[in-house]
Amino acid sequence: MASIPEIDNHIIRQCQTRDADAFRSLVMAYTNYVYALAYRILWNEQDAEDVVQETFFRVWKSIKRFEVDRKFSTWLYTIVTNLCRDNLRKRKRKNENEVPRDCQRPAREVNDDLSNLTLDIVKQLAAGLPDTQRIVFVLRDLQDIPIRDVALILSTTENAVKSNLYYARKALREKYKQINS
Amino acid sequence: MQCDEIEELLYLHRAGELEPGEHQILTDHLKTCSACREMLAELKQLDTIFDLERSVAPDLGRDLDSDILSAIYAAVQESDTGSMSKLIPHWLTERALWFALVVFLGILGISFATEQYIAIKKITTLEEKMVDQAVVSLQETSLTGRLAGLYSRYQKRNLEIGTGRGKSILLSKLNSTDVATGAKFLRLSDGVHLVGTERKRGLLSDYSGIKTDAHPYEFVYQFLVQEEQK
Repeated sequence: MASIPEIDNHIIRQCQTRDADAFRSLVMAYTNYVYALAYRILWNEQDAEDVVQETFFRVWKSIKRFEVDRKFSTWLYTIVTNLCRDNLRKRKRKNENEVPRDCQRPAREVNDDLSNLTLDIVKQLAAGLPDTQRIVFVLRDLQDIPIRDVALILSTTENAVKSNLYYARKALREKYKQINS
Repeated sequence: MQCDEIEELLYLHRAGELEPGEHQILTDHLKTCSACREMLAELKQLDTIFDLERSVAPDLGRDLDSDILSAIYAAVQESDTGSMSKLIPHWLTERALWFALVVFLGILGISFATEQYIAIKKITTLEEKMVDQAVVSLQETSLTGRLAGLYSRYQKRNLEIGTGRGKSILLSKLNSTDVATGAKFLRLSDGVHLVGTERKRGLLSDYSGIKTDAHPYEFVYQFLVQEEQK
């Protein structure tokens, strides 16, 4: 999946004036990106769909406050990651499994055995990570977002992102070794 | 430099975040250390997996996509009636009307044929979509606000009623199964239940026999208001 695009500022300004067509364009442009991020953090289709709906609902409610000189994708991903965090917290409160065992693969551009195997491995690896490390890993290594932007999305420093990324990758490698053995 | 320090450089190297000076240190170390070379090989394998995963990102797909979009538009329309009305595509309205007609005729036919009340009716994908939209669209209304207030009071009386945003919140609370029909339902109080299934919601009824075709939230709300007035 290509990097997330930046939507034209005039569309955002139109959204701020409650222009329905502009909002429609915005939703169409970003739905799959939002879903991909939510799914990779939560590894659950239903939860990811709920996050998609809630994200755009919040965008509509609060886009008036968005400053157009900021990067829209960063703001959008901040909303998504916050909602995913909430979801992960709720799961912990309910003592639910981090990754449902019967979790089905979502529709993909390419759907073959290798792709399924990859998904299973990544899911197994990521599921064991603490929430922040998991989110940092998904944003940086799966969504290909620059460290500087990851820091902005999570309202933290670049060093904190690097540190989390280091521990995440270390844990992933160790888990991968276990799976292989 | 020791291997544990090199390990950190290896991760930075794979992430493309190594400083020029560190690159030389790493290269020199790898020439003489087989353990670190093995670690580098493992990291390369992992990167290959992540690259593949990155290249085939999860995709909602066309049908699901339109389903979710409809729910989003319904939600924002409800929160901001007027200017958002044109968000709902004309084709959806048309389909909804056709669907309503089909459902009405279907229910009529079943009623005549069986001459008994059908508590659970399996519903089509489109009907499910409509219910989902309706659930979502009600969530920011004053009705939900009042429902939420009542909810907190009824929660204390161990009545399980869901409120809040998200199409699955209320209906995911269906926690009991009727032995005869296999239908899932939510027990509201003695003799009063919210009937449906996890993903395929049916008609609502007072499970003790009183018919209703009210929307799930409306039904729960009406029930709560009646209870509140007692």
